[in-house]
Amino acid sequence: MNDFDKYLKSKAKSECPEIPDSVKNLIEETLSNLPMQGDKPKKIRVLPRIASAAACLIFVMLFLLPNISVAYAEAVEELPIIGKIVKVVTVRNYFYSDDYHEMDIDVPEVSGENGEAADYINKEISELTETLVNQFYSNLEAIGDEGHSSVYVDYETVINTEKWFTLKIRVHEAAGSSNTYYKYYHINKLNGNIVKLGDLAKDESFYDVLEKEIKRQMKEQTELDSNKVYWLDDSIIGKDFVSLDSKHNFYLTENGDMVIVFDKYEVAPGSMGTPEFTISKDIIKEIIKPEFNSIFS
Amino acid sequence: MIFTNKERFCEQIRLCERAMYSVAFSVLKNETDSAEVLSEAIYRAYKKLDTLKNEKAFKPWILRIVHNTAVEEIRKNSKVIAMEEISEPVYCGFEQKLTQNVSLKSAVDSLKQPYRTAVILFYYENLSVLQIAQITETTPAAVKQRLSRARNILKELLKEDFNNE
Repeated sequence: MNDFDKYLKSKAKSECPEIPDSVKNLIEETLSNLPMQGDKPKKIRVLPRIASAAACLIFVMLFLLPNISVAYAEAVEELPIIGKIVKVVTVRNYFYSDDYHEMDIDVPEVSGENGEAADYINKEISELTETLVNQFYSNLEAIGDEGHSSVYVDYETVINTEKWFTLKIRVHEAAGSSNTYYKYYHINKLNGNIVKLGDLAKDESFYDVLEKEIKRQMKEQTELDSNKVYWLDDSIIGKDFVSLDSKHNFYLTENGDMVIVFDKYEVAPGSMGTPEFTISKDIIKEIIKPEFNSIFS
Repeated sequence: MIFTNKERFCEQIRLCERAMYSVAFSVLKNETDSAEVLSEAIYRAYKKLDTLKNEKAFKPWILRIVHNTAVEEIRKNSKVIAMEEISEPVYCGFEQKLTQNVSLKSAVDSLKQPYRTAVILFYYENLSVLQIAQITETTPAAVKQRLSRARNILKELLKEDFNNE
């Protein structure tokens, strides 16, 4: 049997089966979506300490000092409040973890002088997170120990200046394959209103200009880097998927440019992640309502 | 914990991905299901990384997780019966074309389970009988028996090619 064994080994070596690209891509995608190792325990250990220290400090500053020191009390009274203040804090956290399923959802709450706008955002976020939590528990029951699922939600204050406030919610869901999407909420602090993409538009040409510019940037990127793929007219799909509506995700950068954000799979294969395109404020200025001019400057 | 970061884990997975795919495919015989199973197995492995005591054992360790996940998938869909119950012929439905050279791959694909997985791990992935026993959760003696039966079938299927060597 030895000769035959050698023959089998050498034949196996020469045939050396290849792994299909689709499988390779899914593996890469899975790897890139793994949470960072060791992040979680750190978060749990550190947060309460910071929170309790902060609580102590607030207590000392707001209650203790004003009551024991006349000078401090006067100083606090005179502190000027600059601009309209918008604050974001985590009010709830949903956490679950076992060998197969994991959930970590931070629920932020917006508060400040723009009361109505803040209420609107808080309501939207609490509806979204409740849906995700319910979905997670029903998946948990349905899948049991026969599969893996996870959902993570966190948030970030993208911009908070005198004129503008943007909160970004990131949702990451995985069960087999994975999906990431974002929700952006904007408050125009000059009048306290919620702003959506459509509110900025001077007229219908607004979307055409943006779509054209995005497609131009996609083409430019794919020409420079052959690894990049977007679904454009001349791609394998044969149709472009760039389509903006009045509620599409966007945010503003510090220097007043606009960034359009697409969800995963919306305009490109999953391996491209969630593509973003920066539209210069020079283009934006021409197509927005005049009342927003001071924001894009 | 052996791996201090995600990068290191990803590197190891990339080194083993071909073997992982072979194992999944040998059980499932289907590209899409195999890809899903690999994705699932990577998640599981990442969560259980702290149970891996020795980095050198990564390959058999991850292959065992892939094998388990694939077998679970099969059972879930009840596409075939549990492996232990298989006592029928070792191979099925192989169309022998005497006019052309038979590739080892197609001969191996025609083997039934658990012979297929054992052969792939032994010949293609160069793992030892002991490692294969651990991966497929059986005894070394059973692996030897599977290999020996599979070898007889393969010899029959590949005899033309073998004699020409």
